[in-house]
Amino acid sequence: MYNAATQGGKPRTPYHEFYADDFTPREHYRLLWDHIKATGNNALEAKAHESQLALQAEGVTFTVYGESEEGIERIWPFDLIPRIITAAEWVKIESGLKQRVRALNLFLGDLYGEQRIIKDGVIPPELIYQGRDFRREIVGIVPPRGIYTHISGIDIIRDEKGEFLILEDNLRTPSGVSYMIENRVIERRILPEFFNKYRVRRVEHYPSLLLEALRALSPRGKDNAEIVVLTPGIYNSAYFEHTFLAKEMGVELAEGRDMVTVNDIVYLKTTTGLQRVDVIYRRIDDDFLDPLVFRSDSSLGIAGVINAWRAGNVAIVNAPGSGIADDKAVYPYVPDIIRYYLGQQPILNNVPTYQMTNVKDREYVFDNMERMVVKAVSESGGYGMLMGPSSTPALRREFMDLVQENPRNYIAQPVVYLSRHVCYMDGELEARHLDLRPFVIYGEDIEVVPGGLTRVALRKGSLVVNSSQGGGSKDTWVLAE
Amino acid sequence: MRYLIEHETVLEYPNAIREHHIELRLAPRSDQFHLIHSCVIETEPEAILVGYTDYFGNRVDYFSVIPPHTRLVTRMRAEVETVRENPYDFTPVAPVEQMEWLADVMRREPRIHDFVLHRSSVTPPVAKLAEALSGILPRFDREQPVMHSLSELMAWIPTVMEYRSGSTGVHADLAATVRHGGGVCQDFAHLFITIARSWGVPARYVMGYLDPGICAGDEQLATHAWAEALVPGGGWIGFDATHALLANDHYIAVAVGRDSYDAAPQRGSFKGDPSGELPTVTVTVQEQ
Amino acid sequence: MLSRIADSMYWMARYLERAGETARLMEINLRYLVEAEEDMGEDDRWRPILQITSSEPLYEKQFGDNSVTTPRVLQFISAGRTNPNSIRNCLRLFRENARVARDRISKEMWEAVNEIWMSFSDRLKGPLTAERASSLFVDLRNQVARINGLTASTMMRGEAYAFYQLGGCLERADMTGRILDVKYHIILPDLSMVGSALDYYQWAALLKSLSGFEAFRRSYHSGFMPADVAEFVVLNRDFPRSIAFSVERMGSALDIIGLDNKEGTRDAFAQLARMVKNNSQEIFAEGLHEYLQRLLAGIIMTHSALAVEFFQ
Repeated sequence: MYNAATQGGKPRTPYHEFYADDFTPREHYRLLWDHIKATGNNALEAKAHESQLALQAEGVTFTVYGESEEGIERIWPFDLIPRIITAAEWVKIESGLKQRVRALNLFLGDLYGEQRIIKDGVIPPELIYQGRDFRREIVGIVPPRGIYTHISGIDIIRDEKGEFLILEDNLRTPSGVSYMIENRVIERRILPEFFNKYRVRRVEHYPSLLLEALRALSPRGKDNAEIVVLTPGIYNSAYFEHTFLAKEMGVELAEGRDMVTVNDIVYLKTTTGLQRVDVIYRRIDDDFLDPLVFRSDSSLGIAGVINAWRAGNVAIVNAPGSGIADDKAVYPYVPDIIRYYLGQQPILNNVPTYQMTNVKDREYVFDNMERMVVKAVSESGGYGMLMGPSSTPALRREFMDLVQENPRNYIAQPVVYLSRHVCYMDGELEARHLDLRPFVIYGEDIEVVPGGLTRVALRKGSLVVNSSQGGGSKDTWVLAE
Repeated sequence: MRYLIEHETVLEYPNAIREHHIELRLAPRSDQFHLIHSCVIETEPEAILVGYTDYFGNRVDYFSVIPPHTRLVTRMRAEVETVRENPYDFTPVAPVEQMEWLADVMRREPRIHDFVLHRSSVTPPVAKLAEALSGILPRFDREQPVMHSLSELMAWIPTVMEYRSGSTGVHADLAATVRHGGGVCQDFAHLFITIARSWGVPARYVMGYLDPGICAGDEQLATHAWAEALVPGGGWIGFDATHALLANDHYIAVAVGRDSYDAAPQRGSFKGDPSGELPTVTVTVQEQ
Repeated sequence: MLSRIADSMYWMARYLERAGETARLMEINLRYLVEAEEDMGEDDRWRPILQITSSEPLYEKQFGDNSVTTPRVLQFISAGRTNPNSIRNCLRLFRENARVARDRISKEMWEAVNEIWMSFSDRLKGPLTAERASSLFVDLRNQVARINGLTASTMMRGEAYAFYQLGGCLERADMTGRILDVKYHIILPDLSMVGSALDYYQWAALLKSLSGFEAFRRSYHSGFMPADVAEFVVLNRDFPRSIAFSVERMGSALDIIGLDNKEGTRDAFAQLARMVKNNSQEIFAEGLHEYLQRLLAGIIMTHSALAVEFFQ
């Protein structure tokens, strides 16, 4: 729990990933910098243009749905200057993430089993019993090998001192891998020489890592595995990624209505008849997964799939019920969760967080709203969030009312100025804030893909990196030595 | 008491539906108060039934009818013996120790928190009820035994709500129901539960069957709903607010939950046109 | 492949074909017959089109009275509110189905799908004079031909393509059958006239509606004998728009798709295939109209069997 007394008031400068304090590039960026200077603005301009064309040709888009049913299909916003993480930096990130994912899975197994962590008083029962995503329907069902979150996307930022901190866990249907891979494909095309000068660890094998992890879960054994990517359909903003992964893994892309459960076995409706399904990589939320058990008005899911899962006839990735562990109200307890299940101190820390259910913390936050980020626990994508520094007094009052009304639904964090990097914006090199989403696969063992999706806040000064709200991205290089 | 219970539900669809999955909570609960001598469930069209126990400890039987059909029948027949003659027969805990007793039970069995914390449109935050009733709600007196407050609560309910058969939908908003001053057994149970919970007393919804001798003349004979509260020293005790009686061996419990949705006797999902779905439910409870 | 995708490929092709064929029919009716017969009544000119597209009752519903006029028919066939088979609606459904099957079609095809919709959706709704309509229909026909060409040259051959081909050929066979049935009836109201050379313009119009005028002239030198026209349109395996040609291609598509355990489709199609093996004497002995009715029923049966066995 963050101690309010240690909070200072002086402004801090964000960490700059590219430049050291004396405005020369950091050691690991020197080669790149020399190349950029040598390349010159015209050539850079050409390369930026080339990357746009390449993305367009590859069809790398995402869709923002507003009022029009059509939605606006945008080309994935890509910045050509890569973000580099040294091997030494990566070691800490990798071991911190493995530790965190291992602990969160033990946590889920406990929550849906004995609930020792509640009985031992480490977390308050309200946290779970009032949690929107605690799925009572799956209590007592043990997924294969006790793994719930086969795929996790953990958002990381760097604070003013350059320390990597965990911002948020995404354990349900984390997205972004397709963009991570496309960024690499494009970067290779426009800066090919660098992939030899720098020994950059590969990420393009992610789909085969994922495929292996999925096949290992097949009830009929991995040689016979029929795997399906379950998509809500073409109107989903991450549809590009669904088709990308299905294609790269060579598996079927299907919607809920393409499948039917008969005698606790799930089948695909094909032109040659019903074909049994072994593993469902579902990109729809629990709520919509099974109209018999969850929301009955959902037409996106498969009625009876939870019964089939209970009977052990189909594997579901990520397991139903995983969402409670990435609940923003659970987030402040994750360091305790790591200590409780693994007996270890967390390798990567959380961003300091205040619980709005704690009266003293709440008072402190209200007194310092202009320096806080207040987040609604139940929202994602940057919605339902107050950015203190850029808010109006009226908006801050509105949020204070919301918090008073339902304190469990809010947490607050002092604004951490996300680290900055250089981006090539309209012919100039400008500083922008960014974060990192590495992806973790829990198959035979836990593997962290070296790199991840670096998301950039494209609006100057903005700290909001989500693509649906104007974010962009960079290729992320993890060096091999 | 020994009972023969028959429960039949016929669903008819003017336009054929398909891929129909059904979950049933029909079988009488098997526990220290209920001895199940026999229980058979049949369906038309015939189907394989698979069973499991849900989160609340209820027995669930499920089946599916995939090809197009216009009619679905489920039929349960059970012989049950009930043995709780006197619900008052327990040693109460001293009032000053009651809340500690409850806290202790909840520590050991965290699932019971659900029965204190759960809020929904049929078990809303008590402020909403106070609004609907212009303020007067029964108080919880910590100096008194919990049974006392709960009995007073049960006596109070008929003063604000009268039984009107067929007056509400099964899952209507409780505040609205209370404002209209009339409801059916689910509403009586939900009202009891909502207030007990606001006192910190765990309370749960029970769906089951009732000896017909207890029903007043104008009640429809279907499944019955009442509440159970966790009473220090006594365990779960049933309060039938509709009839102002404690549940004894004339009550046969089937399923429990946080509210009526958790304990619904039949739940289904299908593909096709739902309009015109006609359910016909017949329940008979006979003393043997 | 997924039944839903197969269903979309099939319907995509059917709707595109329907849009294109209807446009051609309208264009011929507008242009050619204007030149041919100045005092032909509007009812005589347009009612056959309503019959071919089975939309007489819907027309009545939209307009209330029994009056068939050029502006009304133009509007009704192009974008009539109550007409689910209006050209505009066919293009819309073509695009909707293409969207579902987007992963199976090439990028160029998807772009062409969007282009055709964007070019025509507003133009079809707008006020249409006979002159504007005529050029609109020609444009549309060209776009449809372009899409067909693009499909043939860029789409991967396999099950998805086979369903596409199946849908397109089935629709074409159906449309051809209807055009022949209605027009022939009009041209030859009296059975005693069978075997005589008759109204040049009507026959030419019929053949032009099927893009077969020049080809026919090259194959048959003795003017327009009704039996020859019927034989050409129904049985000629070299004429790409003949019913026999379409049925043969449906057969190739079904071979690729595979008919194991699909007895309904196999039987229905076998019956259809038998019908195009008759010779023209047999057809006329039965009666052309009776034969065509039987053929059209056979096409419907094949479609129903497909729907049940593959798409459900």
